[in-house]
Amino acid sequence: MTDDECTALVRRAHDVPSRNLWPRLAARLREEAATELVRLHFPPVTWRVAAALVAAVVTLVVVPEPARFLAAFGML
Amino acid sequence: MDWKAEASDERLFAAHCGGDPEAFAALFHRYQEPLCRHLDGMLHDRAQAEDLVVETFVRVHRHRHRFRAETKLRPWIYTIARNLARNQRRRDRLARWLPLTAARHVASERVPAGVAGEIRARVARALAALPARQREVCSLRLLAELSLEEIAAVTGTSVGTVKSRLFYGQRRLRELLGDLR
Repeated sequence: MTDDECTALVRRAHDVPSRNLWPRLAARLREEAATELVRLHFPPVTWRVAAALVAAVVTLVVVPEPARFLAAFGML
Repeated sequence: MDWKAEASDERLFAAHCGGDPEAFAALFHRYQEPLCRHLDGMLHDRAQAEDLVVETFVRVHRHRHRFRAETKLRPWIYTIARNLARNQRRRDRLARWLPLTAARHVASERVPAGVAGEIRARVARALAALPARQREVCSLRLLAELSLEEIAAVTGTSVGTVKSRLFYGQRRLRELLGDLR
């Protein structure tokens, strides 16, 4: 058996015509449209964000008076 | 002549994103048969394959804004279908493992009777006998008729790997189906 014969055989075996699935899909799309939500995505945590968070936490831990420190920089 | 018959997949999809519902219908009709054949080849259940074809296009619509215009649509659609098929297989394995749900599965196939049905069963068994990666590549090539480059994009491998899996998969299929010539 050649590759082409094998391919033809496999295709013939799966050559069962499907039902028209468009009405089902159209109904699903109508449902989607009716319940469409605005999805809020959390911004991706890039290395810059991670570095900023680490710097903030470390600063607050290391500085002796964090509240005063934040007030001095106008953040409190 | 209707422009949709001649338009590329990407153009139809862009028209759909622009609010043309008929473009999505045209795109769906273009994909329904090959996608269903491929999913049937992967799951060996025509009804499940049809469900996943519909679900694939629901996801395509839902995530339409994620599609990058500079890429090809076909590998993207087949990647979505691939992920859905994987999830389905995982659920099926779990359902078989759980004793209470073991009897839930009912034969839902609309298979032709007689010789055609026997051939179909033999081919299904031969595909099922392939290792999963070879089966996937063979199904994408033989049933969905994707190019080697598209298959590589869907499976996240190189074209060389696709060629190798296809070679070994087809060789095994020839061995298993040789007497059906």
